[in-house]
Amino acid sequence: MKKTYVPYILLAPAVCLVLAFMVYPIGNVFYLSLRHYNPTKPWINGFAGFGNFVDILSDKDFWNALKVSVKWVISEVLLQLVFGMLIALILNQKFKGRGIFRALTFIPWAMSGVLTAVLWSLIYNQSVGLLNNILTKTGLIKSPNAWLANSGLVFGSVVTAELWRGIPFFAISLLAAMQSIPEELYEAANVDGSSKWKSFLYITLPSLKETIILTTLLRSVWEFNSVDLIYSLTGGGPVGKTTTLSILIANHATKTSNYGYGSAISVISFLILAIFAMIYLKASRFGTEE
Amino acid sequence: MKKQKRGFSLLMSAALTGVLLCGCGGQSGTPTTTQAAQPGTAADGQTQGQSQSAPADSSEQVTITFWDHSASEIHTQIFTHLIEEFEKENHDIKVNFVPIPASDAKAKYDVAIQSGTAPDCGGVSQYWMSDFIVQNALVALDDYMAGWDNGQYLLEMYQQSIRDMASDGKTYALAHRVTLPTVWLNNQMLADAGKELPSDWLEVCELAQELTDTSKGLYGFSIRGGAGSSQQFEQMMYMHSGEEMMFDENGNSTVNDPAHVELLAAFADLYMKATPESDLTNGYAEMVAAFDSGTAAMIFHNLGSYGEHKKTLGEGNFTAITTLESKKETQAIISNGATCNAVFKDSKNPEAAFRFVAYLNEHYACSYFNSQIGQIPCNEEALQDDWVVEVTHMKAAADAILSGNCTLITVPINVIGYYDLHNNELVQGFQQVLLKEISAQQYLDDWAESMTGLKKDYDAYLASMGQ
Amino acid sequence: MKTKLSDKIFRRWLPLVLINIFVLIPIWWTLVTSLKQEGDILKKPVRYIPDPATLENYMRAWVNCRFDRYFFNSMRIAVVSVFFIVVIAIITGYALSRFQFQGKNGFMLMLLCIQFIPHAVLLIPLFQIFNTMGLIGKPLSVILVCITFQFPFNSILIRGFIGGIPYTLEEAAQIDGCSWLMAVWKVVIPMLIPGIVTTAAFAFIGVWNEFLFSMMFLNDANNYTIPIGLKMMQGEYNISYGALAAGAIIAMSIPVALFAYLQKYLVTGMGAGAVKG
Repeated sequence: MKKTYVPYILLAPAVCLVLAFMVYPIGNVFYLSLRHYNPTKPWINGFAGFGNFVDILSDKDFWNALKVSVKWVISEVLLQLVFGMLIALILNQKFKGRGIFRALTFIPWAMSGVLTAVLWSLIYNQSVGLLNNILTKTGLIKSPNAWLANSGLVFGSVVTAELWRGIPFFAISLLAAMQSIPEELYEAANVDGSSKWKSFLYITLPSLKETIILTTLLRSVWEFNSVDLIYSLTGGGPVGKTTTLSILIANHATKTSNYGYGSAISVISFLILAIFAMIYLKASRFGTEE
Repeated sequence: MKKQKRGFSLLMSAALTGVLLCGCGGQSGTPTTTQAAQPGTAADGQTQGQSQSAPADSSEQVTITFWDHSASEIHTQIFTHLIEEFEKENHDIKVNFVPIPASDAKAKYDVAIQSGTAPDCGGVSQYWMSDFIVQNALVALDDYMAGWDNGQYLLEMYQQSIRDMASDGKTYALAHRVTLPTVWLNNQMLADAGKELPSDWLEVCELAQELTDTSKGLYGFSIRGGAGSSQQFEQMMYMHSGEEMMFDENGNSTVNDPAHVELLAAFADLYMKATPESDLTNGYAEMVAAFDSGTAAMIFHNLGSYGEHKKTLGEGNFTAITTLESKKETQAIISNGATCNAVFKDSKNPEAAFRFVAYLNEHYACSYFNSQIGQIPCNEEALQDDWVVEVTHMKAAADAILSGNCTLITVPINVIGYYDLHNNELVQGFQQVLLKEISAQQYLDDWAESMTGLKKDYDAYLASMGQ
Repeated sequence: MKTKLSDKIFRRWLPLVLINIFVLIPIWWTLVTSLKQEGDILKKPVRYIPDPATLENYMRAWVNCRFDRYFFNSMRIAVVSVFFIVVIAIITGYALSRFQFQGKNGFMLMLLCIQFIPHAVLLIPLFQIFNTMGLIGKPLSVILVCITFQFPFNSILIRGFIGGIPYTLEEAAQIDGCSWLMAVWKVVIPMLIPGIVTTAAFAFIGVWNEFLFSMMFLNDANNYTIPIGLKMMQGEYNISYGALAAGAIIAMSIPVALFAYLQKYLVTGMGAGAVKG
């Protein structure tokens, strides 16, 4: 095969970056998780062993946040995948003006999380928001809704805002991956009288398998850790209905200086994601076609 | 192949140029077009990567850094002007101005303090001070103030409040500006219903119900239920009860005083009947939007949002109600802290830093600053300036402060953990009260218990440190 | 390949239009808000067309709020970062895709795992590292952080794309007399263009919108980036929605324009001299 030292040379820059900038900070997180540490409360500082973890696992806020996180990740990734795939399929076809539509589809991705939140909070505003205005004018609802305050509506509202922002990720990744599917395959299938749906199932999907697995995994991790949008829209409320684990971490580690506790939650979050990733990769038999 | 080679080398040179450009560390030297010259542009590279530079030799020029913790367009313009004036009179000091967005200023200070890179001086909110003091990050200014004549014009009651922040009673900051808590009222909606101004909090609740007309989508009040809700309501409660002590003689928190329970229960009743449903997660922005759009007749905030209301509702269309009768019939201002200027221990030129901070707090600078943003200057001379006297609600506030028979009550921001408690527990609890999931009594009892506990821990720590 | 009209409508135009309505309404609303006078934005009744329309928000953002400077800073950081992110992603992705070697799985897992830790808890140690290096306050610190955070994700993505390019093509080129490096340059890179475009697009957005570390590492307003500028429009007691909207439009314009130009490279068969098989 190849000379055996080549891969190591190729990986050298990556390894350097990780050694220089990741080892100490990540190690620090694990270290702090075993300590009580809050610079503004010097009297609690000291070794904690697994004390933080015990506290966290017996805190009902933690389990609530975990539940919300799971709900959040599943709904976001699934919805974004489905819509993203749909758009990618359409934009893969040749038609006039597809360039413009491709550029348009990309736009929500270009907005930062905080900006998206400010924008959508304006849209969802009960009194002067666009959504209520349109819906009441067209008679679809009778009175304005409190999209971000009503316990029944808030989760869906936040999911929609993030969905708006996240679809382009899948649309573009899948579109790019579709480019390496040779057209001849489709032509051959067409000649054989295959329907569009069959072509999709038997040609498109299998070729995209690796990309789909990767993108859903990466996106799941991303959504699990996503804070900006939710925080700016609802602050995790009302009453913890939209408090994900990442928001809990933000509250404990950055809003207040409870670094020991915040690090411990980060470690738990890390373990959850690591286990999830390993199971996911094994179950999807990733890399078996290499 | 040649084309590809060229393409590749083009890319490489572009990247290398980029690296070289940024390696020069962001020198500007390009003044913006229509703006007045930006102060202290770090063109000398001296202040790059450090916040302090030359040694404190009085004959050489010294550069100090000032962090503005509430940056905005207006603030930058104001500081530009003030720094220019300051540098004219103090040729040996150059001020490097760093604006920081309000939402992240505390975090940035925290990071700087913990890594020993805090600036020479900066704006701080009073309720951050307990955190900073416990980490030994601030310089006590008493010695510097001894030789400062104009220091006599500082507002004593706010300075006392600042001295109360520290266990050793030293002055760790100078109060620069405050806003008074107030109920904002929409004049039109009041007139349409033919009602009178309310004189106490229970009348406010009644009025809210009377001004509500859900068929038109109009509400009497908009409650801040999201971020900052519990802190705001704390002010409201103490305004209603008139209770002056945050902790009784046994060290128990007074937050669950019966008058407080009464008020909270009244407001919980208002929710969704006289207020929009969205109030539950209202942050500052949404609450102000409800008022400015004419949806809610009243909100509770402070004089600082005057500019916002003027922008949308227009001058004269709304009123500030700053004095509501309390149950104890005392005249008190409930403060959740002033906006202050402080000097940091990491500074290599604390004396120069103090000179600048003192300048900001003197008559001219204090008055100029606050006249532009509409807040109350913490300087006696400034409080008597024309621009204060000419605006009704400002004059009322100034009169109350200068009268001498007004007490300043500060919520317990000097107890470590105060802010954590509000942020992580009390906001959520407040929402539960509005939703009738828990009772007002229960919520306030829990709050009192937590607060009492925090104070005990803090006092014990201070005792152990020999204070 | 001719498509029936009904196919065109139902399979293409209808879903496309519907989805684009969902995508574009918030953008259009941002645009409308940016053209309204500041005092009109929260007024009832809600106006769909700004009246009077004004460009003052754009002027404020660009001049008063110094977006002209922040724009340049953001560009500088983004261009340099993206270049290195793409390069590192390609070589790392290639190594992970084409080679079997000791530590490969561990390395891949590590790349995945370092993305699991939220950035907020890494802030202080990273600050300490850069402070020791004397880089706090310099844009280089932000660039290094961006590269470090972005390359794992993009490496994995590129690995996937390379996986879809048959190795036989490289072999064929080598048989033709190319060195290994030349084979990669002539065969893999051209076919990787869609992947490179995607990676560059994602990396650019990630860096362009990066806020936390820019905010914490930079100490001179002359080095501030656009996200910081936008945050400063949300003051303690005021939110300039109009200026914010204008700033958002300015901020979005570059990535969108960039992508509008690059999207034409997301096409099949970009390989020059691709070997069928």
